Amino acid sequence: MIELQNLNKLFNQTHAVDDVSLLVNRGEFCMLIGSSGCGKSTTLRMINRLIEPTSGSISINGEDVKSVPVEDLRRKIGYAIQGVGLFPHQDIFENIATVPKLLKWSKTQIEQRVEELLSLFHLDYETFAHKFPHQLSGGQQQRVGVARALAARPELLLMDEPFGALDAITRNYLQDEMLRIQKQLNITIIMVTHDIEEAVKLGDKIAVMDKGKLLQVASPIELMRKPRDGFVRELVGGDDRALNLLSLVKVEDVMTLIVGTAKKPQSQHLNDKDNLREALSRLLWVGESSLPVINSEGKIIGNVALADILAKGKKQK
Amino acid sequence: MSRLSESASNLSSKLSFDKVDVLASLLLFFSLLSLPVLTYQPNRLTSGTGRYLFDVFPSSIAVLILAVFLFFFFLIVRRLSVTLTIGIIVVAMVGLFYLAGEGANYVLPQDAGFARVALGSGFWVACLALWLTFANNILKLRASPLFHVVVFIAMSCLFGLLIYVGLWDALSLMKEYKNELAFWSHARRHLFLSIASLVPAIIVGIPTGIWCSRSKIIKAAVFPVLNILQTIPSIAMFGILMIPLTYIATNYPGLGELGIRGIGAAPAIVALFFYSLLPIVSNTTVGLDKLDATIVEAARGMGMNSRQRLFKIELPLAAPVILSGIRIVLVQNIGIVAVAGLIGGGGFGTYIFKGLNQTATELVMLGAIPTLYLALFAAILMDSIIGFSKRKIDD
Repeated sequence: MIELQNLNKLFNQTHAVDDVSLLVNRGEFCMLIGSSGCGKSTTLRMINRLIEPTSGSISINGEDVKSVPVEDLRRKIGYAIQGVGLFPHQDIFENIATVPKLLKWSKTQIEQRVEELLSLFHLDYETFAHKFPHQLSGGQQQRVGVARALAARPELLLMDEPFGALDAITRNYLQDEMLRIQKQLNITIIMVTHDIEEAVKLGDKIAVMDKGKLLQVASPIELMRKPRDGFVRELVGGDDRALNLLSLVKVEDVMTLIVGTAKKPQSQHLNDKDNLREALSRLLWVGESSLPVINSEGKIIGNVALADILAKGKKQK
Repeated sequence: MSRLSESASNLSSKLSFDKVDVLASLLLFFSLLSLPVLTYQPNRLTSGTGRYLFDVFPSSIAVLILAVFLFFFFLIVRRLSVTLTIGIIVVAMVGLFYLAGEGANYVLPQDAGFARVALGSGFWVACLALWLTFANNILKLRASPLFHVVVFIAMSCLFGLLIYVGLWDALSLMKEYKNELAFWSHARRHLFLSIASLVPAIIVGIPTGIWCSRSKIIKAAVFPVLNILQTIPSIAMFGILMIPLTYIATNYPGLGELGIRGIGAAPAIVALFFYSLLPIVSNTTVGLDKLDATIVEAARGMGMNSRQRLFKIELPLAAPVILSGIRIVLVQNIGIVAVAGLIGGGGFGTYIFKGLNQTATELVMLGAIPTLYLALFAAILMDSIIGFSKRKIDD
């Protein structure tokens, strides 16, 4: 559990962070969102004390971050940034081993952990361990960056727009990877972003900031349905709002069940784990008003009609 | 149609020459034809008159030599395999060396008396031309940086051996060498002075550079001082240093006995130390300042303390820039040490100033050529080290 209490940061008389209080529970994926210069990165960097707050306090599991030596604190918190910041003169193995080495793990422990992390990110050990960062693609570099941040099994991972510089396809893939890994490891993640779509997709909790102030903290659905007036409404109220809302609901939650049939799927179908945004897009593309849904075993288990989807994307009073 | 274009491209590949090789080979050929390859001096202190290839050798031999070099010209230009071309160039170099040594025997009269034969401009330009095309072809091999050092040492051994077996004994340069019994002790002294000033400059310069990159105030204080030091002419610097060093020597006789005096090695080392500081400090500062900020940020965020960041991340990444500072200093020092000859510091400069005083050109050469050689070797060695430090970092 991470608790930010009345956090303030002044840079030359300007209030970069203005009285921010935020509670992030264990295992939560919390997104800090806002336009550039709103203080979201500053807030994040105060958690691992890369920036010291002017006033206010931060505690992790009830312990004030100032009560431990700053280097010890940082070694316990994973940190991944937009530029990745891999060390170009060290190979992938050495990069990932950075924090375990600082913590003086044994050689075999480190080797085991690097292998584990590379396979977690679907990177082949033999191929990648002894390559240098410049030999990797941008997406691979970012995966190594996150693997490095997770090396010493931190309970908390801080990410500062980690996917901002990647192309849309790679970004989308890595977002799915992050969701999977967060569930698998059950860690707490606080991620800074300026992309509402990313925030809705990844976050259990979204904290919207503007001009140093924390405006609203809510679950994605709540934020979509009941945004506070002003900046938050502007942020979520774009033309994509309904689509963003749809992306939060899975096909399996709205489909009409078909019981007892073991029909082979037709060429066009939906998957039960797809979200409604993807389902809608598919219906539009193939020009159908309804499609069968198959499960992971390839069996038809239900049916989704356009009307089911429309009902979910509608504004609620 | 396709056959036509194919044969056209074949033709063009046959006709495409390496411009450097062609230019260097032309330079080689015409320097031998139109510049005096040797100079004849009635005695070692007179300036001498130029002797062209046709003056040195009987016409038949001279024509033969030109024909051989013309043949080399075509071989080099023909774009054979790179290794073969290099081999041909080395043969041409040995030939040129032999020519100069043998030519001296032709020019010197039987009862030579005080008469001397020195190397002429034709020889030097031909040397330069061959060196150019040699370096050009070595670079084409794209070998490891270490290979360049090995090649340089191998070439040094080859030509050193030729001189050692007496190929050049008839030349004035070697006669001066035989007169100067202290040549190798001056060589050691020259190397010692160059390196003895470099080591303390590295020990002081790198930490100062690190300090400057961490604090703007220190940087603002240190750089103007170093800049001013750098602009003082070396002779003036030696003069300035004589005063405090003489003072120290007279007041603390113990230190004087250790060699700290107004003249000699002490002012040379101190002056060279001052000259070495700016390149090392500024390259260290720039190398650290220009590091990718996200890398340093990542290192900080992962819990490296400032010492770990410095030694594991910042210095290794800035190493190529810092090493180029050291390269500048080493090459520069080898040159400035020659000036130390003037204040009794020893080294090859001794011969340069002695030669200037006597107007004995070849004695000046005896100081200048080894100085040039050392500087070249230092440059190649340092480039190789820099190449190694860059290997992993570059993409």
